[in-house]
Amino acid sequence: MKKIFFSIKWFLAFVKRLMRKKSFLLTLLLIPILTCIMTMASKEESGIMSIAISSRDSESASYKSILSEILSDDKSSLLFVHYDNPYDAKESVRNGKAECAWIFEDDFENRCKKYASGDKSSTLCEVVVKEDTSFTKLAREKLYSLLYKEISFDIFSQFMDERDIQNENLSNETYKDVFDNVKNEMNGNLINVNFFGNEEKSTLETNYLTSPLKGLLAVAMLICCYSAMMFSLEDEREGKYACFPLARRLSIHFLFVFSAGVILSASVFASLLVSHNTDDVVYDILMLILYTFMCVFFCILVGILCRTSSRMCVLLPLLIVCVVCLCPIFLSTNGFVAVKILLPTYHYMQTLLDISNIVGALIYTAILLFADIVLYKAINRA
Amino acid sequence: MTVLNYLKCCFKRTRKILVFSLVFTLVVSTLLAVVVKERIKNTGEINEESALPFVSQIKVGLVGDVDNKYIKFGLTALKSVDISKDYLEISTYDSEDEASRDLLNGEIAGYMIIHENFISSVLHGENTPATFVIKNSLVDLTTMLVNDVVSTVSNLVVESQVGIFAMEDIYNEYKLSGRSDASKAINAKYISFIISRDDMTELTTLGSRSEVSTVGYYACSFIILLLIFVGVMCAHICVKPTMALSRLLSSRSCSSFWQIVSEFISFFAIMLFSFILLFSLTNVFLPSISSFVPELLNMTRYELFLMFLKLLPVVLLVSSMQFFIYTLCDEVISATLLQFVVSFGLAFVSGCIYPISFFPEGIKEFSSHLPLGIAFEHCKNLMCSYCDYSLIVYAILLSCLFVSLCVFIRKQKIGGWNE
Repeated sequence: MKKIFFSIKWFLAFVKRLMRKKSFLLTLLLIPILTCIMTMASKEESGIMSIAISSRDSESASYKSILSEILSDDKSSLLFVHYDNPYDAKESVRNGKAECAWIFEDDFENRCKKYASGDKSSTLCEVVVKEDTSFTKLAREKLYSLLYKEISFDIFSQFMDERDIQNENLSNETYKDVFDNVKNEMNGNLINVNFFGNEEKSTLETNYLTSPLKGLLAVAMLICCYSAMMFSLEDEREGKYACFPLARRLSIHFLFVFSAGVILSASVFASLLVSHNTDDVVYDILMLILYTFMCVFFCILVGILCRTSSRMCVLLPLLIVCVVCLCPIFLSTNGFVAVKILLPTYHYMQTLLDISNIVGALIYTAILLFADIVLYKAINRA
Repeated sequence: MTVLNYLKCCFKRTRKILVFSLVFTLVVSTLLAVVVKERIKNTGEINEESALPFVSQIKVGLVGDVDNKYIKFGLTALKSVDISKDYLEISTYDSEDEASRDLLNGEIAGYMIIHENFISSVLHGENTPATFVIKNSLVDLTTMLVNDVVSTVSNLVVESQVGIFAMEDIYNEYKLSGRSDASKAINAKYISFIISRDDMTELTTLGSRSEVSTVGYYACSFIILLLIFVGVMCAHICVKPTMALSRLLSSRSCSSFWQIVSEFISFFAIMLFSFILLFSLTNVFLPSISSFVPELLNMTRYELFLMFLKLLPVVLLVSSMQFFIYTLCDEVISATLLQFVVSFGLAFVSGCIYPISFFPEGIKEFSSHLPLGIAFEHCKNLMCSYCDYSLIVYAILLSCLFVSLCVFIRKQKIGGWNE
């Protein structure tokens, strides 16, 4: 009981000490503000690839229908920008405003018929790219799908014409009626897209600008705990912990780093809440608590190994590089598993991906705690 | 004399960090070079016009009835004749567990589950959908694009189905003979159109001469991010928890201005040495590096040196911005945290992580006036052998503004602002 009161007393004292620092308060406020700005900005019109669209015959009915279909598709992660003039569309690629331009040819309807008849010299659209990457190729599949829609009836009707069927009731109009009837009856969705472990969540709810937010806030938490450990080591060096016996200093380090972690996790949670980046509030809170412990134990371990704040400071950029590059924040990196599993952020991100990873995270936390105690005792004895 | 002594003292403090910053630059640059080199070795040589081989294939998985003859046929077509073979690699899995493990490990961008009745439902036009699984919420760019394209694959198949079933309906309704042959023929026709779908378009490649290439773009990001990281390393020596020494110096004819100038010069020296090391490495390994950075192809060592000189305002700007953040803080926790939040936040919206074209117009416009936006723009211009001197002037003016603000803050703190 006495120990618990001691811990609570010192925890509150450390929280008070941190909250009195203006710059710390400024940082705490800045995190939710920046998160909100990013979330608001992500709602503006943007895309991971900007595609300029134009036609050499802007009056073409097929082009108009394709254009309205493209521009009304708000689910796409591609950003389509319409240009009246094909030259302007090409220029937008040249000056870097768009990654590629799709310029529909003139006499589009006749070209579709010709193409469907097997005359492949009559292309339907010019694609202008600066460099042809996997991304521009993937985006082109969308164009193929739009063009294919335009020619699929022509392929069918020309096939029927080629069969030389002797039936006076059969005409192009009949073909069109039958084709449209079948189309109306057919289920047009052949593939459902689901999130792993969360079938109910729609893919529309994610945005590439806000998806790294959770990861970045997690890195901020790790940095906060890391610098708190540096601060605590500096305090110890200056003799501020002289009133505590050596064996008790580990708990003092823990209380100080934990107080910083708790304050920042509150700020991180507030950021996630106000920016509507929480899927399940209870789960997110639990994972943040677990992550706070992971960060605290990890930073204490690094502190015990480094022993001075200057050594810790020098290692900080390397830690950030590892965390940002190896944890699934901006991209999923293959390999480096041995390094990945040492990082608390990696375990936290894994728990957000799949609930079953909690076991791994708990084991990781327990190992860190054990390592902290054993190493601290061993170093003190030495 | 006090000013010079303080300057010496500042340099003395930076000595240890300087060694570590150089080691850090060396390690990170070498690691990056090895990773890029390995990737290029696996994907082929890069050419002058395009950075395409740098962008590797996108891997997706297939789970389910992969022994079905139709699926086998489709897979063979995708792997051998279809245009998607250039950018898509399909791996088959015996169970969903294996596929999900690879998905979580980042080995694949997603996987398709083909259930037992999928093929028969497609053959009968009932279309019970297959499921394409991607990672939960934390989506990377490849996943997002794959997600976008999945629906287009569905369109291609469904449009062909409509033609095939319409033909069968007509044959049935008008009791025409040869339905089976016709069915095979129309299937073959639609398949041939799908496989050769790239014939519908004509590709024009402009080349990347006027704009920086993908690899060149990320080389610029690397320069900026490296400077930020080296700056973060200096938190321990740049943050002043107490103003006692500053007050003492101030009373001994070393004013706030000279204190800040001395501290900034020593901080800038660390950044500069790291930058010199980076450029020395580039210079030494120029033939190898130019094989994957198209902009450096045909660049002489003298031209590289000129580029280095023109990049100095970038180092100055990043240093002054980071130094300003350190001056704002009075303890190491908020200093490192603020450094991370501000520097990474600015690097993110300035296009150092995702290309700037991904952002909404408002952010693009805003970031072009931010310190890191200016620094990044200047880097990109120099990569394309173009120098906008107005950006250099802007960078120097901003740096002066940051240092002046630091002097103002120091004066306030010495005057008791921090108490």
